[in-house]
Parts: sequence; C-alpha cells; structure tokens
Amino acid sequence: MNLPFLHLSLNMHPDQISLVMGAFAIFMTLCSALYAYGYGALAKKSQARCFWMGLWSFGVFSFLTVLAADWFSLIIFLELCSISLFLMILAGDVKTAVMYLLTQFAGAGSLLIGVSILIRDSGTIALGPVCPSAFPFFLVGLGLKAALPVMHFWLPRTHSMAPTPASVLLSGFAVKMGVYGLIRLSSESTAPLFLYLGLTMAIYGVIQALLQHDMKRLLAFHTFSQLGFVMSALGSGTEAGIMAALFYSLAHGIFKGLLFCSAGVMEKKYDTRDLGLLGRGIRKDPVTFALFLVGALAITGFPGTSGFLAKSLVKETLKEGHHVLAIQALFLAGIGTALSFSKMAFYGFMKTRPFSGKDMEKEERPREMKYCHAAMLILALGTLALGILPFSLPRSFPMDTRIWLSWGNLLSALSPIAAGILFFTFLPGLFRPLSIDVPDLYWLFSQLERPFNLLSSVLQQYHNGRLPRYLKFLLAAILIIFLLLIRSDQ
Amino acid sequence: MTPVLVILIPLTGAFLLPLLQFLSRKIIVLVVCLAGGLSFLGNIWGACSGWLRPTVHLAGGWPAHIGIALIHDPLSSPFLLLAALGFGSVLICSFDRTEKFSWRFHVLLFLSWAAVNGILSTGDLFNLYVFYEIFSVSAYLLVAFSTMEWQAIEAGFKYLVFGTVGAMFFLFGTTYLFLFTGYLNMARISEALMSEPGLPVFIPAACFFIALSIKTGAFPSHFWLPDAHSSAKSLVSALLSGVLVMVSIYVFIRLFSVVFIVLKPLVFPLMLGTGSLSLLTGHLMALRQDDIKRLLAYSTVAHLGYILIGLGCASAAGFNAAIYHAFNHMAAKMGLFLTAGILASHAGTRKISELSGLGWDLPFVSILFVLFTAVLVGVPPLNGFMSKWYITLACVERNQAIPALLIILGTVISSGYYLRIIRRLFSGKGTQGTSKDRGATWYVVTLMGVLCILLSLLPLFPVFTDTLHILGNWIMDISMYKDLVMIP
Repeated sequence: MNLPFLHLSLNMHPDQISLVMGAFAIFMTLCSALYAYGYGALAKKSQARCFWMGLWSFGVFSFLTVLAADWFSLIIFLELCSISLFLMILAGDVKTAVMYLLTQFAGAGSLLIGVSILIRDSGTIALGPVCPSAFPFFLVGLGLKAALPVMHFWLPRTHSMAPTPASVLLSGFAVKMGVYGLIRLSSESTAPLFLYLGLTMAIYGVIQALLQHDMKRLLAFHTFSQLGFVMSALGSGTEAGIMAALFYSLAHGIFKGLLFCSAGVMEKKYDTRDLGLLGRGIRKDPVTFALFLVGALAITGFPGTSGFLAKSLVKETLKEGHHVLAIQALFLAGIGTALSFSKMAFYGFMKTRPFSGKDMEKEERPREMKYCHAAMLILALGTLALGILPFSLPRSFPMDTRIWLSWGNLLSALSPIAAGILFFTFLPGLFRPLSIDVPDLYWLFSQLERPFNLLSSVLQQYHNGRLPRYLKFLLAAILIIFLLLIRSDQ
Repeated sequence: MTPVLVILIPLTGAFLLPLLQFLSRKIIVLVVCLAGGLSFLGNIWGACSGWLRPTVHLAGGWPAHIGIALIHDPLSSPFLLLAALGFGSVLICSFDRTEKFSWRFHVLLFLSWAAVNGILSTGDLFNLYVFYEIFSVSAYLLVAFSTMEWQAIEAGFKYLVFGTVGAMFFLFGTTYLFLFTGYLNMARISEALMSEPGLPVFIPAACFFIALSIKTGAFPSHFWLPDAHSSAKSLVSALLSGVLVMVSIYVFIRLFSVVFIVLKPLVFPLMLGTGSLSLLTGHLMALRQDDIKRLLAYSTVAHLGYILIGLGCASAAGFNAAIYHAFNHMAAKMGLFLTAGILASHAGTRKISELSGLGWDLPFVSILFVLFTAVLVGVPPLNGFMSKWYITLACVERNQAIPALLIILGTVISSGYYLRIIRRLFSGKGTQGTSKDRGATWYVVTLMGVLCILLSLLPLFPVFTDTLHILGNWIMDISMYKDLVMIP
C-alpha cells in the first residue's frame, strides 16, 4: 500500500490559482501584521507572544496550503493554519478559541476520512473533483472551513470575539482557504448544490446582519453572505465561474479586511462595538470614516471598486447559465447589503452619540494609530486597484472586460445601492440597532457537548470503585464474548 | 547472541540485588547500572538480530514440538525495542533525587523486564503463561510499591483480582489447547487447528481473548487500569502505560495471527468492537476527571482502543499502524506521566483545578507537556497524527466506517480535555517562582520529547515505509514463522 506523506507541489508547477492565492496570503498576513502593530499591545506579554507566533506561522502555513498539490498535504497545512489562528484568537477570548479549534479539528477529521476513502476508491489524492463516495466528507470538512450553511455556526462568534487583526485574517483569508478547497472540488455535477447553498448563504447572511447591533458580528454575517456570492459563482459550474469565485474571494478578502480594521479602530477608540452606543466618528476621525467608506462602497458593489467587478463577474457567469432566479436573489442580497452598510455608516459614524455627557473617548495614541491607518490605506488602495486595473489580472482570464463598463451593468450595480440607501433614508428607525442578540445556530451546536457530558456522567456512575460490581460487568462481558464466538459457529 | 540472554540478563540482575543488599550502597547502584545497561543493549541486540535474521533457540536442545522454542522475529523486534526504551528510561528516572533509592524497587523492575522479554521471545504457550505470571506479579507489586497509601494498595489489590481472573482464563485456554492438540508450541498448535475448525477452537479462542483483554485493560475489563495507573508512582505509571500494556498487545497479535489463524474472520471484528468501545469509554471518562494522572490513565484506555482498532482491521496496514501507534503512545504517554508527576509534586496536588500558574513556574516542563498532548491529540505533522491517520486509512480500507468516525470524535474530545489542563497551567500567575531543579526525570522527559520529534520525522524516509512493509508481510504471512520454528 502506498502511504502518502507530504508531497508538496513546490517543485512542480503550481497553477495560476495557487500562485494568486499564495500571493494573496502573504499580502493579507503583512497587512494584518502592520495593523496589529498599530493596534497596540495585548493585555499580557504571553498573549502577545502567542499572537505574533500565530500570525507569522499563519502566513507561512496558509501560503503552503494553497501551494499544496494533493489533498493530504492541503489538509495538514489547513489544520496548522487553524492552530495558528487558535493562538491568535486566544488573545481575545479563550472559550471562543477552544470552540474554534475543536470545530476545525472536526472538519479536518472529516476531510481526512474523505481522503482515505479517496485513496481506497480512486487511488489518487491529487487536487481536483473527488469520487461521489468521498464527496460528503469533503463537503462537511471544507464546509466547516468555508462556513457553508449550518456549518457556519462558529463563524459569527469567532469573528466577533477574536482580536481585530485576527478577525482580519479570519475573514480575509482563513475562510478563503475553505473556498479554495471548494474551488478545487467543484465540477459540473456539484454546481447546482453549490448554487443553492450560495443563495441561501447570501440571503440568510444579509438578514442576520441587518438584525445585529455588534459591529463585528454584523461584519461577520456579511462575510457569510458574501461567501454566498462566491459559492453561487461556483454554482455556474464553468471555468469562468471558478475565475469569478476566485476574483470575488480576493476582492472580498481585501475589502472585508478593511471593514474589520475600521471596526477595530472604532472599538479601540470608544471601547465598545455596539452600534447603539457609537456615533460622531465622522468628525472625530474622518480618516477612518473615509477608509471605511471605501470598504462599504466596495462591499455593496459601487462602480470603481473591486466589489463592482466581482459582482459583475458573478452575474455574468450566472447569466450564461440562465439562472435568472439566482440573479434576482443576489439582487435582493445586494439591497440588504446596501441597507446594512447604510446602517453601519449612520449609526457608527454620523449620528450623535447617545451618551454625550459621559465621554468614553480614550486618549489617542496618534503614532500607533498611524500604523493602523497605513494598513487600512494599503487595503483601500488594493480595493481600488482591483477595481480600476482589471487588466492587471492573469491573461488567461476568460472574461471579456468590455462588458463590465456597459450601461446595463452599471445600472444593475447601482440600483440595489440606490434602493438600499433610499429605503434607509426614509425608514431609518426600522433599522435601529436593537440591544437583543438574535439567535443563530451557535446555541444549537453549543448543546452538542450535552450528550457527551450526559454519557460520561452515566459512565462515571459505573466507575464507582466497587470491585464486586466490576466483576459482574466482567462476567457479563465474558458471557457475551463466548456467546458471540460460539453463535457464529452455527 | 541467543534469545536466552535477553531474558537472562535482567533476571540475573533481579536475583543478584537481594544477595548484594548487605554490601555498600555504591555497589548496589553499580550493579543496577550494569544490569540495566546490559539489558538495554541486550534488548537492542535482540531486536536488531530478530529483524535482520530471525533466530530460533531451542532450550536444552529439545525439538520444538516437545521443548521450548525462543524466537526473535520481525514481530517481536519492535516490541523489544519498545521495552528497551521504556524500561531504560524508567531506570534512569529511578535515580532521580526525589525518588527514594530502594533495591526492592529495582528487583521488581528487573523481574518485570525479564518477564516482558520472555513474553516477547517465547514460542511456547505454557512458557508464555509462566512469564505472564511473573510479569503480572511484579506489576501488582510495582503498583502498590512503597507509597504505602491505601489508594495504591487498593489499586494493587484490584489489579490483582482482575489479573488473576485473566490468568485463570489464560491457563484454561492453554490447557484446553494442549489436551486437544497435544502441543504447546504455537506454530504446531496452529498447524493442528488448521484441520479442526469448530467448537473446540472457539472455546480456547474466547478464553485467550478474555484473558488478554483483561490484561490489556480493554473495554469491559478496564476498571483496574485507571486505579492502578493513577495511584502508582509516576515512573511506575509511565512504565505501566507505556510498556506493560503494549506487551499484551503483542500477545494479541501473536496469538490471533498465528495460533488462531483459522478464526481470523471472527475474532478480529470482535477486537474492532472492543477497541471502539474502549476508545469511547476512555475519552468520555477522561472528560470528567479532575485528577491529572487518572485522566491520563483513562486516555491510555482510549489509546488502547486505537491500537485494538488498528489490529481489528486484520490487514498489514492495520497491524503496522497499530505498532507505530504503540511507539508513539509510549513516547508521549511516558512523557506525559513523568511531566504530570513533576507538575503534581511541584504543586503538591494532582488536582487539575489547583495546577494554575504552574506553566510559568516550570516553563520547560509545561511546554513539553503541551508537546506530548499535541502528539496524543494528533496535531498534524507530529507522530500521533501520522499513526492515527494510518489507522483511519486501514479502517476505511476495510470498510469500517464507525471506528474511523470514532477516531475523529476521539480527537475532538481529547483536544477538549487536554486544552482544559493546558489552560489551567497557563492561567493566573506563577507563585513559587521558577524552579531550576533538574533531576534525572527532567532529562528523561527531554529525551521523550526528542523521541517524539524523531518518530514524527520517520514517515519522511522511504526506509520507514519499507520497514512497515516487511513487518506487515511477516504478520500477515504466518508460513514464514511456521517454517522458522518447525524446520529445526
């Protein structure tokens, strides 16, 4: 039997997707590092050490993940990435970090079973579509990484509780590695499944995001919703669809990183993430607002930003596949996105703050904040560059770039934004941040430990140290073994 | 060098020590060191010679079907190596400043070393039984040794009761086979049973299965294990979990792949079931423990489950994976028990909830502790991950979905409970100040860490794959073993 171990594709030729993703990994890690440098020291020295160790190892391992040429080494590096992120999240909240790690271990386990089935059934573990018997395991494993519906339960909590530089990497690149896996997995036959999953994600994420009052949680749900756009691009099942998904992932990683960064700056300044308690940022901190605006426009798909091109690409691929309903659903999700970012801009930056008497504003540390702003500036420039310089993309890009600037396309991009903003200006009260936590699936999955606890407490009762009882169990077991062996004789 | 010497050297050590006890302490220490070093070298030599050229020694020159054959073959050699590493490191630990030097302890240690080597060498069933008894008696005493706490004595007593039941079944099975076939030599019995399938084969098979699962501590008879492993001294716990338990795994492989080869399709699924249940029970019980050593003991039950699942696959890949996992478990679990011992003695308690802040006091030991837990949980490039992966692969190859899923579940549960300890270790502030006390245990623990790293690097070399290939072939194809024993 062939026992595979790390076969890296470094000496082979990683294809363009790998190279683009690898470059992107390094870019995001460096931006996050710059931001983290400005974000200020963590509470304890040990935490800071953990954080920086995690950050740099994440950079290395995520780079290796996307360069791997077979599923097995991809999974190994993916798991190492999860551990690095665990170290980073540890600085924010220990419980969340543990939950994240356990979830990711479960996902990696499922992937490993998938790979062993792949070895048994098809004999090859090269990256690519897998045989149907292994597919469910891959879907669950990669789904946990890429936060497919139901398997996304860890995402909002992790993204909101992690320290902001870690959220930037989580949203910016960690989930993209799951998407990268799904890109490798996608084929004609998986397309419809991915399409429906994607649409569910896009709509559900937006609805949840509109109900949030915690800035980072809102952004986390938008990550979920935007991943829906990526998945529906994969749902077209064509080469162009894969390219669209890839481009969307890149664009989203950058602008979502930017948005998380601005949320982090606000949190640092006002010591809260609650939209109901924030406000006035536009005067106090115009730079942050301007940079936030770039990100917000990008996520809504405003022409000139990377979001616009990404959304056009997705629409184009769906149009080719004649998925009219899907386009309409994405249109709705677009309106929701515009609404929710109007809300974030208004309540986070424009409105007067409710507690004007008690000023919670912290003393500024301009020198360190500068690094945060520098990181954000780089991300903003990246967003704009991806929007304005579409010709800098790899030459094998199968799309005709001219259609991007047609009137119809501009109109279809602007209309959800306009609709969202209009809706918001007329009914701002409807979207006032409520101070209730809207339940998500996290609760359901946090109950999963119950059966285990129950089972172990039942077992505990039988381990009470009484020798006669133990011997009774032993006797029963002996009888069962005899019966089993003798019965199989007949 | 014949297989006899491998048994004789530690046995000589064990018998010399009581005679020399009247001499000065220095001489005793010298004898212990000498006997230990020689036994270590003997084991290594036996392992190498067994691997390169399987050897048979007929005791007293009697032919194999009448006399006792001692065999070193490619199956016994990895276990001889395991025993050498385990006993050697425990011997070094026993010279630690915190341990009270006692020649009685060393007598027991050498006695069990000799018995283990005997079990690994013999090709005769009754001889196996005798060695098993020596082994068990010394293990009972080691558990109850010297601490003179009621816990340790009670644990030793429980172990004794369970072990006696196991020994009874073992003897019963041996007698049955002897009466039925007229042989005690394993290869001969296997040959004789080939032509006689049916009830007569099932009864001794069931007896041996029960006896061995009691001796290993597999699911329904695991009750003695956590008590024994947690109440004993740390170095004894390390020895029990790392080596002594694996000896029974060797006997499992030997008996059921040689003697009861006829029953292969029946017994191995049973092993798979026992393994799965042990895995689940061990992990679930470990989840609730507050005593750090008891937690580790339950984790041993779970890891026995992994190994039994590997065996239960009854394929070359499964056997290889199980043996590889036995090594990884030995290195990591011995390290864990020893580090836990250091931590517990520093804190003055074994309760996990009272270990807070020790990570800052004993940073090196704690980091090693984290490394060992990472090995056992199966964090990717480490050896524990690789062996679990091989076991999963073997399971899937045999279409065994449930054990494969349980392995994954086990990873998740175990990372849960180990993270709890690690969190506790690094929470709060250190109180006692950093300790720079480096005893012998400290060096052994470091050695185990290095061993883990080396074992992790193994799969990178193609030689390792070839080695596993030879091993797997040897276990699967028993005709080679039979030829070896029956020709002379």
